[in-house]
Amino acid sequence: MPRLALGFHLHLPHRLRPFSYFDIGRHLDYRDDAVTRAVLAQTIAVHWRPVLETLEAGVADVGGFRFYLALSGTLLDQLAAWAPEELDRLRRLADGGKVEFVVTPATQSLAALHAPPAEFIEQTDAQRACLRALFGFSSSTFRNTGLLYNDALARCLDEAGFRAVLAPGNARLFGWRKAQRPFSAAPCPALRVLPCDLSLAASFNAHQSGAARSPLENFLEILSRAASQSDGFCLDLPLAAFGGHGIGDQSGFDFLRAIIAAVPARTPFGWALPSELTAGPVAASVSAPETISAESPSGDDSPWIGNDIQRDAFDSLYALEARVNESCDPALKSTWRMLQDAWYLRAMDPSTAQPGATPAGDSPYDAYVSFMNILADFESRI
Amino acid sequence: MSRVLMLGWEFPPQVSGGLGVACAEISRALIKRGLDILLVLPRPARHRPAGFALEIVTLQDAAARGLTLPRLRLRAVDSLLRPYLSRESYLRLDAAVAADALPHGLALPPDLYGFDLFAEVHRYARLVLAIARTEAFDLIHAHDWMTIPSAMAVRHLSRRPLVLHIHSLESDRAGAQADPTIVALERRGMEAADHVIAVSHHTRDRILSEYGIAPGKVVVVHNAVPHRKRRPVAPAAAGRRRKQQVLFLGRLTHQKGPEYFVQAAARVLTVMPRVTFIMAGAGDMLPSLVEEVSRLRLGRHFRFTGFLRGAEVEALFAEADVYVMPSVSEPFGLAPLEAMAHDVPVIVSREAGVCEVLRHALKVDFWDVDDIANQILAALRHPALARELARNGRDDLKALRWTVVAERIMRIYRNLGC
Repeated sequence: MPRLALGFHLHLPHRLRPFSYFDIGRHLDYRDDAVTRAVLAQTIAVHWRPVLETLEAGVADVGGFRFYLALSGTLLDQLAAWAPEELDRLRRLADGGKVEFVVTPATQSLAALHAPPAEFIEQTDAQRACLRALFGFSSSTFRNTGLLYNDALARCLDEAGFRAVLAPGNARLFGWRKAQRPFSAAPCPALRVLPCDLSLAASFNAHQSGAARSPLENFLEILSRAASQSDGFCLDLPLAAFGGHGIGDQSGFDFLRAIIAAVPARTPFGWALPSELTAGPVAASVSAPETISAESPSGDDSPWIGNDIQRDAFDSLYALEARVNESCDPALKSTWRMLQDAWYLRAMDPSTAQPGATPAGDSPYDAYVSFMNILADFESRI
Repeated sequence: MSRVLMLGWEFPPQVSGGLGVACAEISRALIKRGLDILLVLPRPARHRPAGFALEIVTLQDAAARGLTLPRLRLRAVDSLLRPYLSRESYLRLDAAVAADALPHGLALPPDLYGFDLFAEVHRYARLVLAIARTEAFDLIHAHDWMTIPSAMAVRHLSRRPLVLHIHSLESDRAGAQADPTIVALERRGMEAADHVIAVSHHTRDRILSEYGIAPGKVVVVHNAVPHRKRRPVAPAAAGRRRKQQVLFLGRLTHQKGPEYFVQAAARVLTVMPRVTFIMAGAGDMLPSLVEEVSRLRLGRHFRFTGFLRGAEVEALFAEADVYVMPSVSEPFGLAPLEAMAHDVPVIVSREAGVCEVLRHALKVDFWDVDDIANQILAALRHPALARELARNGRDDLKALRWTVVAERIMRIYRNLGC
């Protein structure tokens, strides 16, 4: 029986305060917790709570339903500080054994793209420790920031004891092969590469587009057609895509509820956890000398480090690594790690620049200027 | 095909600012689209004996000056009017002309030019009307307030529709010291016009809210990039250590916010003492700016170039590391586009209309001198930022072509049945 691993990823970066050159040396807090907290509260109310309630209901009502969550360490910290009741909800789910918490880089960093792997390993270890502390166990499946994948990452993960990694199921990685069964990683055959089906995920989101045909029927038909050639794959969805049209919008949750029941009932597929997909034999291996992401159309790391300012910020950030480590100061290290959040680099994408008198801090150039000032201040603190 | 009587300002090679550039480029682009343009503009005929109040520049004359555009005719009217005059600067100009003429022993009749700016504006209108009587045209297109009496008179005489193109308003130029007579004239002109073109939404909003003009007839047409031959980028900069330069280029008047540039410069110099600040332009604030700079003991970091044109401006842009336009009020603002055409990163005031079409610029509030300094420092300290802005800025410029402007203007002409 082919199996489908349904999962949701969520990360909320710490919002940074606008940081002027003249703030350098004043040792202000970089974080703007008031904004972050408001975003968290909004996200919980609009997206998080209804999605988790739907999933909880699915676990209760549909035998065999299970799913995975990819939650960043940053988010888990925020929940612990500002919404501990939501952590309790996660613990209840974890106790039932129906959810797998896959490991991510603790601060959704791009440490995997930074050459010496020590920092990346530390971050995944930190995340595993955090998950163990919260839920009593940690997954041996890894989901990288933005699903970024390459051979170097595979080697790292294999050494760190991971058994599987989620990867974008696009042609850049899988070529002509159907990305609907586990593969092995070419540099380290023990590591399973679990493809995340991107087109199905896209059609999953299409339910809100108001297509003429019933989106549920459409989804089930695509899945049924795939069944004969499929062995098992992941359906990796952004949690925040549900409820995106306001608190009143129910269609996404209704759709999710319908899918949970209909997939085992009306298609050959059964639900599975990512770790369960790693069991059987694999057909072939995949190799990725270059970094691959789920981003279209580029399919690489260019949305994060595709231009001069992003690259400059990335290099400046990791140029501090040795000095941060030498300082042996956990607070500095934690701040440096927070600054590694890939979201900050992504905000520096000039193609998102808008014409007009955009408010201060809104443009990708402002993001870069502010971030570089923060780095300069941070450097003065080491 | 339509014939347009264009009440313009300047034509190359004599161009002193954004208004002149815009008029000339618009005329050029309209001609390329098949329109016939009669461009009437003021030009003082100094040292000319009395009686020659009306200098007629013919096609041959235009050709002699290298203006071989076939469908354009220029007629210059002997007048002291020029862009950006105020009551005071007009009186100074008039006095200078008189002083200039007298030593040559020329009998200058006391009434050659108007006794004040308004008299001259109306005198100009009479001369333009004289030209209009002898010419055939389908439409009048006038630029800014000094041409309003002329435009209204010609419209009345010819019964042709009038398009009034607003490049700046009195409240932009003078702020709180706006001259009520000029404001009233602007209002009358816009009320009389069949269509009003605003160079930005920023300007259109003011036309609607401050002048109460009917929204239906006010259309936004943004300006485009000044026409220039693209020079190969000088490779000299690489490897050569030189002082970094921050450029201000514009009239030194309240409208352009030069004092904020000086204050931001003072902030920058506290952390980067090896930076030169260049203030290119002339204007009534020059003395107070020089005073402020010397009071701050920053004279050796500043260069006041005075009014520059053509090649000198090009040279400044070629040397500049960042261009700053901290305008208090700027209906459009062409200079940042020129800077971008030279691959110079720009910092522009959010009050500038040009912001509406710029994506790849650093945007600031003109009063926030700390932030202006912060952005200047960023542009100077991070070559990656300067490169990124320059590269992406070219995309912004590509979209801003005068042919597009001409197309929009012609749509307005067509709506008027021309």
